[in-house]
Amino acid sequence: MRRAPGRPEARQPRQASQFGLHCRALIVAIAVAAMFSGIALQLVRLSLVNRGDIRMATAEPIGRMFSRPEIVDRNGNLVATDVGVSSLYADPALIIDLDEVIEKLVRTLPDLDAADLRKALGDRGRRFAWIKRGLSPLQAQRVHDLGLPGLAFRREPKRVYPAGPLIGHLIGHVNVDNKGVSGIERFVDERFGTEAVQAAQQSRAAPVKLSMDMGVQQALTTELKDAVARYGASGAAGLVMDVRTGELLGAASLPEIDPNKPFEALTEERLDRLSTGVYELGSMFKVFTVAMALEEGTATLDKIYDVREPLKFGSYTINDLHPLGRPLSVRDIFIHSSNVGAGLMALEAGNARQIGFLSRLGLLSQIRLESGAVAAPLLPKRWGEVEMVTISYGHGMAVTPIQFAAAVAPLVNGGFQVKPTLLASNTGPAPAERLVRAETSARIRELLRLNVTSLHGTGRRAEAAGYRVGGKTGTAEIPGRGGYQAKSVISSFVAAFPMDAPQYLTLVSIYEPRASEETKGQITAGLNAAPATGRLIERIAPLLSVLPERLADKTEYKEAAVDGARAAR
Amino acid sequence: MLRLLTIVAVALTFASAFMLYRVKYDTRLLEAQFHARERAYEKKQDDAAVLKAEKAYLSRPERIEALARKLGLEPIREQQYVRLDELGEPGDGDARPGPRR
Repeated sequence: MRRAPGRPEARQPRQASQFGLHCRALIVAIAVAAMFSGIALQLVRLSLVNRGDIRMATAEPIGRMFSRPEIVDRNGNLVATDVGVSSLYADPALIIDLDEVIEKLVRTLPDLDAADLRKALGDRGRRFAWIKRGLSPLQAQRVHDLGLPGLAFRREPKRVYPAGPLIGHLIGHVNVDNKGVSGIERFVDERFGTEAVQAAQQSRAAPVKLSMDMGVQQALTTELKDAVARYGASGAAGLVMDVRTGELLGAASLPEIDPNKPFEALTEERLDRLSTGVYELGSMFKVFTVAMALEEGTATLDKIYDVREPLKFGSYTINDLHPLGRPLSVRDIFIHSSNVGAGLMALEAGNARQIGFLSRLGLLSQIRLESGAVAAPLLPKRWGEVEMVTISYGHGMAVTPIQFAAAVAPLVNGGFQVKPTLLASNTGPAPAERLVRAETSARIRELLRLNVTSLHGTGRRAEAAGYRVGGKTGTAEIPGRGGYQAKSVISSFVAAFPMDAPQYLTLVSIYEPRASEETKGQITAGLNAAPATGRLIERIAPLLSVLPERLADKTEYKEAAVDGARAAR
Repeated sequence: MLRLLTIVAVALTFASAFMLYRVKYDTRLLEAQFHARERAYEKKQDDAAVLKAEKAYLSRPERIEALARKLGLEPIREQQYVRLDELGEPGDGDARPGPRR
């Protein structure tokens, strides 16, 4: 600062004014700094302290949705997939005229309930309320054309089943959020998981591959429907199983359900007979009785039993349907399906052996499928002589058809345990536990084939030319109120083919068939379930690449080769 | 000197404000484009899923069987299988399919 030497008197006031200037500048600076730090503090407070509140406010109205992997059959045909659909929701705070909105919505979407709508939309505190989910494109357009404020759409994934009723009961259902709640769909959630999504997005997960073959499933369903119509039955069920891997290639239960209409599945007559219904399966159980006797060494195929006298237990009498009036060998007992003969074989073996053998085949405990728990078998409270005899020919204990099929498979596949599955196996048959000797399995195959080729066999109508079918009939009376009803039966036929080296097992059950001219006035399985099985095998054998006998390599079923193949894997 | 510095600083402030504005504007534009593309992609994926489901619905075995039977086709029968060596040479006269008697 420059000082004027000649004017010292002017110094004092100048200094005072300079001090005032500095002072004012300082005050302004402090005020500005205070304001800015106030803003800064507020920013910090907003960004750190109140962050949680803000996030909650944005997340609250958004519903949860899940995108599911596709489900395909063993050949890659689409069975279940997600498609995007429009779902209608409202922001009640933005609705201007509630009465108008409700009236117009109910007129456009008649299945909406006005009272429910009023409850959902009347609360102005809410910012989000579903009105209807999964609208068709046409319905969505109509609602859009109403031009009502406060309504909006979201794209959501919705599960559809293009194959419809054909995929049947086992696929199960998903709920409105696209979460699996039953059947295979539930298993998909548990095993493969679903992705939570904010819009209708396709799942990026690999498709889930089922063991089912839609071609086989179609043939099975058609033949079962044909059987229901032909024999005037109330229902039917059937399955096709790979005897080595336990894969179910087809599984159908009539009356069928459409998985696209979930409410249908709730009625009792539409329940899945294969996995939720337990039934006495009748003479098909003689396969187990004979196999037990052979395995335990209490009988050979040529052993003779005197079956001329009925078996008497107090007030019970056990008779044969068509007594032959002569002693029968085990072979004859099997192909003529003699109850007395099977009973004698069971009595001879004793109940420890019978229980042990049935338990080894897994018939006495509950099994599981990917679609959920299979109904537990119904067993007698005490296992005395009467029970031994009735169970030897398939009465007195009830199992699901799936569990029964899984127990027959080891008796034809060389003796190995089979776990039924609905998923395609990529690795082929896994090494399995041996349940019965290869020799026993070979003898059972011989008997099953004989039952179809023999002129007197109960299964002779099951023959499908060239495909070497073997099988056993079973006609079981349905217990009704006050005991068994004579004219109400379940007729079943279990079969395997080609019998020289079985690859597939079939089971056909016809519920309450009626006698007709075609069945010669009979309702026994040999006249309905057996021919239905024959027609089924004739159709599915080409689909499963089973060659007719004259073209197949003329090789005997070599146990060693099968065992070798298993060991190699 | 001080004045020059002030002018430069003000100019820089304006320049940076302008640039910031432009970058922000461009970003928003890109974001909008990105979201539009993403929506278009999702829409296409959605359409593809619907078409796939539609195709599976149209090719369901139930429908195919009815159509095939209308055309006079039937499930393959055992007699329709022929070994390759059972067929005659082309132009043999006996080249009809079926096992030779």
